Amino acid sequence: MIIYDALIIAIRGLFANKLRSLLTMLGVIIGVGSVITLVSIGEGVRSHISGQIQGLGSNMVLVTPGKGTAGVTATSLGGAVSKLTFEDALAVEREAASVSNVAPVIESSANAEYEERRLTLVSGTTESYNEVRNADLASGRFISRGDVAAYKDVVVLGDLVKRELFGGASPIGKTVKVNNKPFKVIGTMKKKGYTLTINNDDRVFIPITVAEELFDTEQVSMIFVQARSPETVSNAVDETKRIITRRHKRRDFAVSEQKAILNTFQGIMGTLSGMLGGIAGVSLIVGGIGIMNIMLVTVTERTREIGIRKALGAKRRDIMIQFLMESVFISAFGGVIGIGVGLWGSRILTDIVPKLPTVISPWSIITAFSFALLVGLFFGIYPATKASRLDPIVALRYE
Amino acid sequence: MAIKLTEMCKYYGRGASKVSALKEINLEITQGEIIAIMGPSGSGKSTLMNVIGFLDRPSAGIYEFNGKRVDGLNDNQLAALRNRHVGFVFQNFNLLPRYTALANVEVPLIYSGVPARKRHKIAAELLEVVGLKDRMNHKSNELSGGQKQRVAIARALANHPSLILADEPTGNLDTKSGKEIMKLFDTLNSIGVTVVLVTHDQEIADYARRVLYIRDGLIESDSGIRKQIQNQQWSTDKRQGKVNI
Repeated sequence: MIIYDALIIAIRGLFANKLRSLLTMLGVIIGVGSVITLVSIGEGVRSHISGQIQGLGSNMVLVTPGKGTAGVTATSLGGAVSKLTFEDALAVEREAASVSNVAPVIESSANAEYEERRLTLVSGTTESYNEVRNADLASGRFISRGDVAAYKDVVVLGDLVKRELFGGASPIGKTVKVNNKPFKVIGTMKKKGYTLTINNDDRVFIPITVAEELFDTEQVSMIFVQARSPETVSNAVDETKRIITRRHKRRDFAVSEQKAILNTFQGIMGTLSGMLGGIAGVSLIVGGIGIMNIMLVTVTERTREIGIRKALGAKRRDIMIQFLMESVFISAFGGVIGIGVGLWGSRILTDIVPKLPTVISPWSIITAFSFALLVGLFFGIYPATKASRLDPIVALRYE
Repeated sequence: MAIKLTEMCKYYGRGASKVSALKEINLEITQGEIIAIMGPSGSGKSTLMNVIGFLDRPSAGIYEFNGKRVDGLNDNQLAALRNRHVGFVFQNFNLLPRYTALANVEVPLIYSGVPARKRHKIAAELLEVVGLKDRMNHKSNELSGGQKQRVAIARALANHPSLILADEPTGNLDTKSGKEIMKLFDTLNSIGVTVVLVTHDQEIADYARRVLYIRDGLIESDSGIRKQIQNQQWSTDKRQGKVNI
């Protein structure tokens, strides 16, 4: 018997019980749909975070005090383990051949005051910062080398700080007090959004030398090192390690590449996506059990038909294929509808919760659909085998 | 086509619960016969028909079909034999209810691997032969009993079998339709198709040129091949008690 004939017979069988076939299909539809939707959430979050990490700046290497690993700084947790200084940053910039820019940052929270006060993050840094961090100016200029060298009391405002303190008015040339010390506003930053949990817009920039005095510290929170090209990133890492180790006489700092941070997060998010997909996959298995259940009922109901077909010359294989086709058709058709539901679901989700980004990944569609097919096949085998093994005489007598 | 059963037995169960349905049946059926198997219910006539039609395997003994042993074949080999050589006609028609007459006749052709277009052609021709040309696209549950049985006969003929096995073919039909169906069998027989009828209706048996009586799994009597006219005379005599069997 040709597969095509078996398919026609199977479809006829399914159409005889439209509602039942549809309800059985529903299990697969929900299964495939939820796999695609849930994975799209995982993937959406992953690409969102990846984007943010890439937003740290390209070809970037991060130097943090202490032996901390990727990304999370020891200082951000409040404990300064070792000293990383502006001098270290200058040394790296001077000596490392594969490094194009170095931006050390001293970070501390402080009150910025114009007419109102606002507690914000103050970053003392150098002219390289906006280069390294891909931070663009909205107006005015960034801190210059001269500002740093001359200990100029100038400030560049982040977008949120600007809006909070000045509203729509231009702040350039105005004086803002940071921890009661007056600073002249020389520029404002473009809106940049969040990097992980840190709001890049809720901060102000001052020259690093001024920050050292203001906060009475030489401790640099982190040094952003930018390699000349993606190929030289590992060289930049090596050189940075060597130079700072030589200056400190020991490895009391951590160097991590943006790529490594990215990989770590992508790894975590990949696991999360997989987990979400796996949980949804369970519903597919439940759908498969539904298929098996209905197919067993169908086989019993159609015992007589099986007997007739066998009397007319159907071999075991023919009956087997007929019923397998039905279960596979249910799962395939349900799978196709499920893909539609999944795509629609992930779109609706972003409409309802705009903060939840969703990204449809082709592999989730392919995996969900193939898994649905496999489930249909697997759970169809037992009923189909049962049907194919029926004794024609017994089956013909069945009422 | 030739069938030869030698000391053929069929029993169900084992040991103490063993039930013999057929005991040492010796029977030969040759090409072109029309034979009626009669007997009370439970006598084993249906079992005999099932074995002859490859629906069932004999438990012991030899079954030769066209000179070849077929008693040891597996399910798939038996299915192929049924498909190619046997056409079944049942008392309760056994048509697929949601299928049209045409689609019903096509079913055996599907399993013998005939392509769709050719299937339609053969099925349409066969329905024409049984006089249902204008009912071809009616679903089987829209047909009368007589029409259903004609579809079943057309279906039985689909693969040009040499043997038609009919189990009480007129049992669910009114007298007129029953007669028409029997005429159809007669016509088929006249063109060389072997017909085996299982019945307990004497009038139906009258159409057969050979009558076999079965009781308790044994052949009680075998009339041998008779001429049609003699047969009718013979059965009339029998009914009137002039013949002892």
